[in-house]
Amino acid sequence: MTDDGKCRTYSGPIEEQKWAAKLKANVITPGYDSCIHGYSMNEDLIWNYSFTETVLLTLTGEIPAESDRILFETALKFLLPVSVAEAPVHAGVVARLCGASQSGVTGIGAIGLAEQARFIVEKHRGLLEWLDREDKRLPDEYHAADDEERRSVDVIRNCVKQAGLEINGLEENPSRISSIIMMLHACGLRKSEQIELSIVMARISSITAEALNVEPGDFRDYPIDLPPFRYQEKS
Amino acid sequence: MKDNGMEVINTRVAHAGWDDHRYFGYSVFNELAGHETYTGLIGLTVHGRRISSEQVRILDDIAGAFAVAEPRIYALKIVRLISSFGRILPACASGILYMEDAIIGPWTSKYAAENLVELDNLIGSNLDDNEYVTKRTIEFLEKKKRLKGYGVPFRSSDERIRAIRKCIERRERHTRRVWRLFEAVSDVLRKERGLEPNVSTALAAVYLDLGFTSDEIPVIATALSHNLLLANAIEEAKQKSPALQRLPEDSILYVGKARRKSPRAVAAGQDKGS
Repeated sequence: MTDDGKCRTYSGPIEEQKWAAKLKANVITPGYDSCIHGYSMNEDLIWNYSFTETVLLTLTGEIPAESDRILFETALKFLLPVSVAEAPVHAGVVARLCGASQSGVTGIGAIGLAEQARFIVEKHRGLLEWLDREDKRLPDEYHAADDEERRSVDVIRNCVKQAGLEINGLEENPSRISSIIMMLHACGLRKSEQIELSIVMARISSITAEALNVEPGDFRDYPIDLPPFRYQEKS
Repeated sequence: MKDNGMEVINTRVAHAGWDDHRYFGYSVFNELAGHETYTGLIGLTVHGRRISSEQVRILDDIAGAFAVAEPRIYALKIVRLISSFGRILPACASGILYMEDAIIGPWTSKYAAENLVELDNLIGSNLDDNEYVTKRTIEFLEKKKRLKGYGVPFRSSDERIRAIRKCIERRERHTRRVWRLFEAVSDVLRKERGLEPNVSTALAAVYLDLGFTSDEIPVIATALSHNLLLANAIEEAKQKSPALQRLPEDSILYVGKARRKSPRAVAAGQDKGS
């Protein structure tokens, strides 16, 4: 405040330079009659396309082919179940146990999933490069580890076959997550960001579903020393 | 070591006891409570060992010089947007979340520190030899193409460096090795390439002189800037500004694809629902 009781004003680079006046929208128009990449929700998409097709359109900019829809939907289904053994769900469950609000649980879960997805995609960067080239055999690090994993990939392979589709690399003994990434790649999601987002989107409901079954405050029922920690001091 | 067949996770951080707790090798109630400042605890947390009171004072100086909490600045805009729905901590979490590896914010000081360490190795004991410093700096710049920590957006120089310089001169730390290197290299880049240092390089120099590593620097810089996030989150959580929750439609410029009909709508020959 100045001596005469008025608010003092200041000037700086933001006031004194020219900036864009409007925020650019590239994908979705604002308002009740939203268009996604030019297609009206009210007049077109809601009547003609499924949720997964609309998500694919949003991510790629184009209406997906029927085969892309099948692959994307199948990949999302295989990605969806993420148990409490995995860090994002475990964290969501602990948050709920501590009495966090639903937005807290969702937020923590979303961050956990985003980090898990980043970690997975980072480990599979070589696979994405291989899928873009396919000039030699699938690198060993992306192979299934054991028979149990191979059997789970058989299910994925059968789903793809039953849909009358083919995916390159699926016959090369890929790991489960590699085969799902192959499906996402085959339906047009070539960028690592798109793969990461698909993983998060598919899994987010698992977190709330598991967390909602936890009684806030039921601390005795939570195994606090799992996994076991030991404090050590430097001597 | 295993416990019930599961690998035990070792931690140096902390242990909760009955009458006292441990934190990085210290008794929480007897050695930290009443004896250590908040900044000192941050130093211990990041560094893994206690820092001196002189180091604490310098960190406090830097935190003060870094206190630019202008809500329109990108990181803080994120905080304002999220806190506009009425809660403080999710907004702070968002502000922190954007930082790791971002091209602006505390993480740039990590790369600036790595550059300074490399330049220090190149220049060695020739810091007072202008010609040598110039030659090595230009070679380094040419090798790197773009030097993180240099370049000041929207203004001719970074005013925060002037504030930090004043602080470290007052504490007589401007003669420290990395700060001198920072000044020498910045002089070369300013003269030869018209490049101004931004605050991340100055911060990196001060932190390196304090004994922090390149990996520790962005973490401590983040920890010491929480007040900027909190200030904006606290205010906006109260205000719940409708314009932040949702901008007016006429402030959005759609630049995407023009309106079109999908193949199925075309095949159906109608605009259903309209």
